[in-house]
Amino acid sequence: MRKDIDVVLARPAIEVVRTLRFPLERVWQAWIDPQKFVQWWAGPELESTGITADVRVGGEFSWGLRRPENGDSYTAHGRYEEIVEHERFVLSWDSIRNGEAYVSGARVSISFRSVSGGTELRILHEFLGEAEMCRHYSEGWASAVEKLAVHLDLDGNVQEHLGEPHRAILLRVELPLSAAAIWPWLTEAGRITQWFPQEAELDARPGGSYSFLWRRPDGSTHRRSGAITVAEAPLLLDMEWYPTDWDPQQGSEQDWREAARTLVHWRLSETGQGSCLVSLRHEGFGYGEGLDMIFRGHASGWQEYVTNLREVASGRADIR
Amino acid sequence: MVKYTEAELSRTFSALSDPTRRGILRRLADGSTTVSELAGPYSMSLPAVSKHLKVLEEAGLVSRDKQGREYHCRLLAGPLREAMEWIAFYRGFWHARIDSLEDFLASDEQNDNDGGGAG
Repeated sequence: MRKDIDVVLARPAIEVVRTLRFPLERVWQAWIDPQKFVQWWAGPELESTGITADVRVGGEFSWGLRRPENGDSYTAHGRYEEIVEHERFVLSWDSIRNGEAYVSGARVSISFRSVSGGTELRILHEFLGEAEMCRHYSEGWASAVEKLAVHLDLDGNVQEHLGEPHRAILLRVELPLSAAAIWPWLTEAGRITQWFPQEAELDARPGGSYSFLWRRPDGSTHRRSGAITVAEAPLLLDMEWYPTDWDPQQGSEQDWREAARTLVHWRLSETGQGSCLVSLRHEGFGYGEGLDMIFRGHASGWQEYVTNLREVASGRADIR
Repeated sequence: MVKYTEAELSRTFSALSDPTRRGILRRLADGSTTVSELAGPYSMSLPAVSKHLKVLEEAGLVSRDKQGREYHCRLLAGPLREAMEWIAFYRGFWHARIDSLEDFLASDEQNDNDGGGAG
């Protein structure tokens, strides 16, 4: 007990150092290549509940695990803050344990070093204090997000940063509700149709799917559908989003899917004062003919719909 | 056992993130003492130490009782136990992940040797 107190009081961090009898390149690839990573992260005792990894600085990851015999679950999520090839990568690390946030605001640094007989792997998992956490987030925000093409908030500020290969729409709104009370507004058809499309189906499980149908005043309709990639009630929901329709004359459906795929990330985080921040990040828009229009169309569309979500979820009138 | 909420746990860790406050807690782990004694090793003014104590008190890590003319401070173990659980959880977690990484690398090597991993 006294020894553990000393550990905690020395520094709220865990460091695990192990030497693996494999060459550095293989160990590095096992972490950084998502196709390899999914093969080992869960291991024999646990099962995966959905693993996504956008391996680039600013890219998001979500690694979900479950213990089949008792149903205990653990999901880590965050961003790649730093990647130094064959040397180290650093993750911002938030986690959800059995459905509840578990000590937010950590940082995990994973370092690799060639040693005789293999590779030394060093994992430093540290909790960042409040001040550092703010700095860390604002830096992360500045480096990863400010580079993106358009940053909107509900006060109507629009910032443009051009020249990046990808761009995203970012919106954040604070609702006077708990995360558990907001979750159904994002996942239940009967609630979704009150602020977003007129018809909805959604299976809020990793690997589930959704289909939304809008009816325009002129009687025409349009549909958006795709897979749910991450669902961690009531905090995380990621879904594919195809902003265009497949045109068989332009090529195969698979080619269209690969080119058109974007991702919508919903993040709920409670403020501790009875309200909850709902963040939307819609990313993966390319540049090119027609894409600017699609991007701008989605930016203004989301602004309108997220505003409507706030209105409707707060018990006010539907503004659609 | 008391179940600490996420907010409380985060507050515990925030309180622990400062080296002076960890020093105060280490001192209190040896036994309760007065505020002026605590201020001793830090060459800090009493108000500065009081400020740190207030953070620790709000995080539920320290209690302050007036005894005569002096305040006595005492370490409260509850939130610390939760912080230790955090450490123990992740220590086990990371070792288990690395075990599984080792298994994977070994079987991947096997596949490569069999020629199954080509391409």
